Amino acid sequence: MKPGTHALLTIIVFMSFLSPARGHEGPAAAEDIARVRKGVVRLSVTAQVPDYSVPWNPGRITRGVGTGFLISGKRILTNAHMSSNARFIAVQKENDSRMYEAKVKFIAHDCDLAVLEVPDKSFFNGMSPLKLGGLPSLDSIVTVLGYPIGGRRLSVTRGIVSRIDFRTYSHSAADSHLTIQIDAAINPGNSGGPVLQDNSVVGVAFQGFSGDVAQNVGYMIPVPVIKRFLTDIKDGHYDRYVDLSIRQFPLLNNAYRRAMGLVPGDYGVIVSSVLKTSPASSILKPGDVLLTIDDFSIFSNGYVQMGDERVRMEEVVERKYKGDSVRLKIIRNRREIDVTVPLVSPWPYMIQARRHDVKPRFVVFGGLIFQPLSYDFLKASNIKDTNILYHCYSFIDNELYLKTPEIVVLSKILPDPINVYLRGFVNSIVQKINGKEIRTLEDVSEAFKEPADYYVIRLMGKHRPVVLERKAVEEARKRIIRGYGVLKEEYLGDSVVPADWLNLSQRKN
Amino acid sequence: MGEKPQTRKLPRLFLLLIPLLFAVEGCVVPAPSGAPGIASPSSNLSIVRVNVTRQGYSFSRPWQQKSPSTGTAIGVIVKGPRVLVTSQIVANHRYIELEKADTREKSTARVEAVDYEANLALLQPTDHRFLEDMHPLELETGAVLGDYLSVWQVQRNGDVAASQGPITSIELAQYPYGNAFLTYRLNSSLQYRFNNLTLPVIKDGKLAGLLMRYNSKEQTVDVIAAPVIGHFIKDASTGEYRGFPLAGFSIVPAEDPQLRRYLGITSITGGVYVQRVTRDSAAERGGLREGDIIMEIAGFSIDSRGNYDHPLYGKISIAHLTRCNFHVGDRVPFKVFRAGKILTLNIVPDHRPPGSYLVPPYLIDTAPRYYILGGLILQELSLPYLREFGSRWSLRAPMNLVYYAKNQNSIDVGDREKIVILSHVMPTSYTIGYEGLSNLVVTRINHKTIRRLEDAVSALETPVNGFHKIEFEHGPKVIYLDPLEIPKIENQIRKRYNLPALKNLN
Repeated sequence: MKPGTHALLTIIVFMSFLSPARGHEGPAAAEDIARVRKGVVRLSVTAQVPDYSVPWNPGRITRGVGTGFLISGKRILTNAHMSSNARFIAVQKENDSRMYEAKVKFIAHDCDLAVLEVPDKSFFNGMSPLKLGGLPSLDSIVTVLGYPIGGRRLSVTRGIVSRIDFRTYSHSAADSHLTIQIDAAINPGNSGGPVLQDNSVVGVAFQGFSGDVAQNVGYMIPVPVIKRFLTDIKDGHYDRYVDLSIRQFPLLNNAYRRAMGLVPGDYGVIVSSVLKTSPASSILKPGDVLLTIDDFSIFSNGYVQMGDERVRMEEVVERKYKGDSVRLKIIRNRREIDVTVPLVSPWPYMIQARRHDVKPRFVVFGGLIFQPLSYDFLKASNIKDTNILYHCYSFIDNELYLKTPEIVVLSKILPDPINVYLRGFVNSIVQKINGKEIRTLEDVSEAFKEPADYYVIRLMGKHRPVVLERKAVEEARKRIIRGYGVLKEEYLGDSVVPADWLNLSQRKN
Repeated sequence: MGEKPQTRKLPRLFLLLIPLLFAVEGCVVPAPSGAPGIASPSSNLSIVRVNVTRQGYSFSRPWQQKSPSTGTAIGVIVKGPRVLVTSQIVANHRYIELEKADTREKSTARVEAVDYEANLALLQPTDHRFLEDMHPLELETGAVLGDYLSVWQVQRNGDVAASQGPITSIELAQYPYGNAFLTYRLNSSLQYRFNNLTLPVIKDGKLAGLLMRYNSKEQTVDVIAAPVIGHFIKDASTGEYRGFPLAGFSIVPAEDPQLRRYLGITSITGGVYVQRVTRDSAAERGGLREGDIIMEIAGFSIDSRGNYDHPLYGKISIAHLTRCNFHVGDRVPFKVFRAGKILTLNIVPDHRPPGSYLVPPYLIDTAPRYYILGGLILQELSLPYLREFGSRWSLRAPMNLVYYAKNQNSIDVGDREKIVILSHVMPTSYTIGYEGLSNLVVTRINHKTIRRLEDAVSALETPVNGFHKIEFEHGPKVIYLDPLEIPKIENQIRKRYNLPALKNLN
């Protein structure tokens, strides 16, 4: 996405910045604000977004403006969506016309945060890092600094905390974390700016609300999510969020509760499914009742009480790291048992996630382009085919990943005399090539490297095979590469399917 | 879980005709292809106005009917005498009345035969002498490309006004329920008036077809072709209408030379590839297999695109050959190429009523089946149900339901005859926590597999450990109801929601 111009991602500004402070800020606040302002920087980003419809191309160049702020250790914190696919980032301080190059040090696409570094340390002269605060309470006033559209200079806005809840982070579109909703208008161009209360950072402004139903809705990434990111990268590597890998259903119905043998009360949820790729699948079963998670009682709507806030039980898992586990008290067959579930980052969800800083995977053979099904691929292709949409959206619910960890689609044909009769086969799912089951794009690449007179491709729902003669493909190869400017015939990097899962499932088959 | 189906005012069929309704009456448009003229004075003795009041069913609220609506068609008197109209005018009819164009004399009528796939219906007046002095039209099945046909409209005074246009194509086109039948396409700047749902199309004073849809933007008129009408009338005259024959297979072109070399069919010319043979179909019983190359049907040789040479139309799809040259129960000889040999197969096509499909393509003149189990509305998945998600239903309806509908001929559903779904929940105080459930496929109730709606009823006789256990493909996977609470829930639903009945299993 384009930094700073994405419909969902914006920042908030307060008009009353220089007027007498209200709410939490005392009379001495003006000096503090002046100090805080010096920690806020303007980002100008040039990014290159891959083109999934021409996967070998380097991609479209986009430019955008956003905000970041200095934290401890001469690091600049901003949004991941400001620095995704970045080719050049320049940072500027308020009242300093010079531009300094910044580089991405850590980027977390699942929680839309990134840490930048500026190689030229003189940039930091006169700046002081902003302190991280805590969770602001509902109805308290917050101040937002940033560089929104409508001018080049720093802008300040103010609003109140409206809601604290889970929400999908649109940068990946597949991850939900704790989010704070504030009531200031949000404008593009300001992502990554700090949201302040009592001169401490209580959040990073990151997205607004698209659609015309809601008004005065802006969202910020709260401190628990920021702190988790900063802790995760302490070892020099960002590991992603971990997950319990289950789906649960609220136990609000009395008949359901009685059928489970539960006494009346507001507690417990039922496990409806467990992701088969996760360690949880050998520990939890559909039908288990979850009573507690790490000693937090689970209410019948799936929430827990953490301090003053009721939050979704996932929040307990949200604060964990790679290699951690959670303790659960469950009821199975009317008996209470304690289990410990190791937490991992599940990969099947990635089919429904926007991905960044990766290149499109593809194979070109005989003018036929093969690409794995993914969120980015679907967005670029505008596919309306039921079969393909079903395989994307039911990938997890129907456990399609067990048989086919990566769904490969014949996505396009570069017309050439050898493939002119194959147009009707575009947007079909590849099942077999020369009798070999296709489970990943790598399988496609390997199958075409096997020597054979005919390459026979079997597509889902199409019983007539697609047949390519090796001789014809070889003759056409140079012609197609030159004619269509195919810079590369395949890219097999950036797979989401872990190698150990492939080995494991290969053995089972 | 998707949105709830939305009710729509008009059945889908009507949408095809909406461009017509926008035609501005009285607006003068130059008509280069055929200026409207007055047909011969006796023309109005061959037609009647057919006024029909229809009332469709709501599939999202299956216990109620939609608002009634009235439309008028221009029916054609055919021999019998009977009145021929398109079937869309009589779908879900509640009242049919014939009205003579000149005298405005009226008689009620009943449907004698109807085919919703071919979009044709024959009506019989309840007053047997009503059509005695009328002039039935003969059928003209010989229209060819370039012929000028007249579309008859009836003016308020009862006179017939004709607009002419040439036939610009004759091919198989989609009829309202997705079946392909022979269609004449006319190029005509038809000035569509009077909002009639059927209009006769005439060649030399004989009936050449019925207007099916008119595209005002492109000025094209799609006409149900006379050979289709002839097949329908002939079959209907036997007294027991059986429908158009269906063999149950699909084809793809086989002209790709690489494919032919791979299949070893370089020695033969033509022939079309059999892509799929429907389970339990006439084609399967006749021995046709996927991968066969069809060389000949009933003595006509088939080219690699699946066309044969029609004496009047030239190259045209074999679907017309099997549909219109044969009747249900006829024996159709096929010559196919398989494994280096030419085989002769005899296929005896039949007709599948919509109810026999896993996901019925249309349900007309019959109330939707449903069963309300303790506030959970159970139904059998059908295309009319999915169509209530709007014209973009294949993108807006829940994807797993659309997948069942679109792949019903190829996916393995075990011994299920229908896909039973929980369409939504009527909230009551006993179903708290379930109110958000919708569009879930029901797999088992009380450990019994649900193959059709009736299975849900019989499964309720044997609760599991004192509870009704309902299992779904997705969502919560399992929920429970207390059998002792079911009468209380039903009582609440009857009283609060005013439902006339909690089930329809007819």
